[in-house]
Amino acid sequence: MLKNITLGQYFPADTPIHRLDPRTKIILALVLLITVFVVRSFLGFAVFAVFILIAAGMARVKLRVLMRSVGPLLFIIILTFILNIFFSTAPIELRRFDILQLPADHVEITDQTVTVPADWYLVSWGALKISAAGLIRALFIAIRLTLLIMATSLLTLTTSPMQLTDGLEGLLSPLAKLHFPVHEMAMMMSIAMRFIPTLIDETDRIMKAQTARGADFDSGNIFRKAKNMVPLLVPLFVSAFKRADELALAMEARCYRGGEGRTRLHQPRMHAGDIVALIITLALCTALMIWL
Amino acid sequence: MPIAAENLSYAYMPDTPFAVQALDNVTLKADDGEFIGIIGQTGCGKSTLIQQLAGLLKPDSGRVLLDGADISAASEKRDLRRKVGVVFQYPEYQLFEETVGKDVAFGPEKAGMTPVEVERNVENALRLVGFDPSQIRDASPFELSGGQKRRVAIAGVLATDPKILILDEPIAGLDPVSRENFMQLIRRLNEAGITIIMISHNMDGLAEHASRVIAMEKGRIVRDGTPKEVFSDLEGLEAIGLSSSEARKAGYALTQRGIYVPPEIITNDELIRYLAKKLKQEGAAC
Repeated sequence: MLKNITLGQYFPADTPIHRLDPRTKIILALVLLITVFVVRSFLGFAVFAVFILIAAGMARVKLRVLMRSVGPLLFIIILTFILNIFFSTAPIELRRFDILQLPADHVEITDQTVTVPADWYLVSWGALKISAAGLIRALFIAIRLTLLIMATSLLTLTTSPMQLTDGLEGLLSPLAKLHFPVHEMAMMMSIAMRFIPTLIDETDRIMKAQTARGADFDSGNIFRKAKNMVPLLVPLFVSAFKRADELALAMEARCYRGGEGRTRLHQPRMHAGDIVALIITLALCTALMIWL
Repeated sequence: MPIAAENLSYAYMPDTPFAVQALDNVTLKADDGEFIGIIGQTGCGKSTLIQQLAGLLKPDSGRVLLDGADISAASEKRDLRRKVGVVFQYPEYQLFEETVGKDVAFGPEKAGMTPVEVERNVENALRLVGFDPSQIRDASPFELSGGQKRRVAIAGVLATDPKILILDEPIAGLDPVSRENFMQLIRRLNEAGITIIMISHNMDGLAEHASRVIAMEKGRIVRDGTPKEVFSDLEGLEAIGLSSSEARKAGYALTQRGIYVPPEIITNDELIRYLAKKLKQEGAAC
C-alpha cells in the first residue's frame, strides 16, 4: 500500500535558508552543481562539503535526513564507482596542493598540477587491474554524486514545490519575450504538483476498495501484475479526467485568462539575505573553481 | 462471526512534523447481527478504525480478531476478504468494467466462486439494491446516474456474500429519498443476519435503525451504547462537536421552553406519539 509518502520531501521551518527567495536558491543550487563538477581536488570537495553542512545546519536539516536523500541513488553511486575502478584507464590531472599527496616517483608534477599516469597499477590480478588513476577517478565521481545530491536535496528540503515553480517561472520569464510559454509551463507544473498528493490519495483509496473486493496488486509475474492493475487504473483515469474538467471550469469561472497582466499573491522579493547568500556562495564557488 | 479490535493504535506520518495519532488504544467488539453506527467529527479516526477492521491498514500496535483469529496472519487474509465487505465513501469511483454485470462479478470471481455461484450472487446483489438484473447488467457503469452507480458499486460488495459489512459514509451526497431507501436497504441486510458497522453523520438514520452507537473523539471511543443511551445526552454530544437526532434536539428545545419531553425520545415517530398522547391528556384535563 502507498503509505506516508512525502513528495518533494519539503520540511517546513522558519530559518534564514527557508526564507531565501526561491530564485536565489535555484541559482545557488545551479552554481553549486557546476562547481562540484569543476573542482579537481579532495581539499576542494572537503571545503564544499563543509559549506553544504553549514547551510544544512542553518536550515536545521538533520544530517540523517540529508543523507537519506542519497539513499535511493546509492546503487548508482556504487555502480559507477566499481565501473570506474576497473575500466577507467585514462591519466588524471589533480591539483598540486591537495590533502592527498602522491609519491613523486610515480607521478608527473608541474607548478600547478599533479598528473597520475594511466600505467601506474596498484593491484594487478591477471586481467583484473586497478590503476591509481582509475581509483582516484572512481572516488571523485562517488564524492561528486554524493555532494551533488546533498546540494540539490538542500534546495528541495527547504523550498516548497509551489515556491520552486514560482522561482522557476521568475527565472525563465525573460524567455517569454521569445514567445516561450513560460507562464503556461509554470501553471502546468504547479497544477501537476498540486495534484500529485491528491492522485496518491485517490490511488490509495481505490486500491483499498478493490483489495476489499479481493483484488491482488502484489503477486504474480509482470504480465499478471499489469493485468491486475486494470481495476486500479480505469477508475483512476476516470476520476483524473473528471477532476481536470472540473478544475478547468473552476479556473474559467474565476476569470483565468492566462499569464498576461496577472499579479501574484506572494510577490517574490530579493532581500538583503539573498544578496549575502549570493555573494558568499559565488565567491566561494569561484575560489573553488580557480584554485582547487 | 464476531469481529473484535484489541488496543489498536495508529499514527499517520510518524516521526515527521506532520505526525497525527489517528487511533489511540481502541478496543471494540462487534457481535453477530449488530448494527453499529460510528459517529465523530472529521479526523477523529473513524475511517482509520474501519480500515483496520477490514485489514486494509496494519495497526502500529494491537490486533484485530475475526472469529477469534488474528487477521494479519496471511492465511486469514483471503477468508477475511470474503467475509468482510467494505463500502467506502463515494464507492462509485471503484467501478471499472465494461458492463455492470462484469463489475459486480469481480468480487465473487476473485473469491474463487464457481461460475454458477457467481451468476447467482450477481443477480441477487443487483436485485438487493433495487435493480432488475436483466435490464441493467449489460449497461456500461459509466453511463449510469450518480445514484445508480453507487448502488451498482454496493452490489459489487454484496455479491461476495459478506457476513460483516463495513460502510464509510455511504449516503454522503444522496438525496433524502435515496438516503431513506439506502438506510432501509442496510436495515434489511442487517435483518438477514449481516453485521453492519457504519460510519454516518446521519443521526436520524442511526437513531432509527442502529442497535448500537459509538462516538469517537481524537482517536478514542468516548461513547458506546444503545442509540437511546448515546443520543439522549445532547449536551454531552455537543460538547465534543457532535449533535443528536432532530427529534432529540426538538425534545430538548421543548423541555427548555416548559414542555417536558423525556431524553429517551430520539426518533421522529416516538416524539410525535409522545406529543400526541400528551396533548390528548392535557386536553382531557382542561
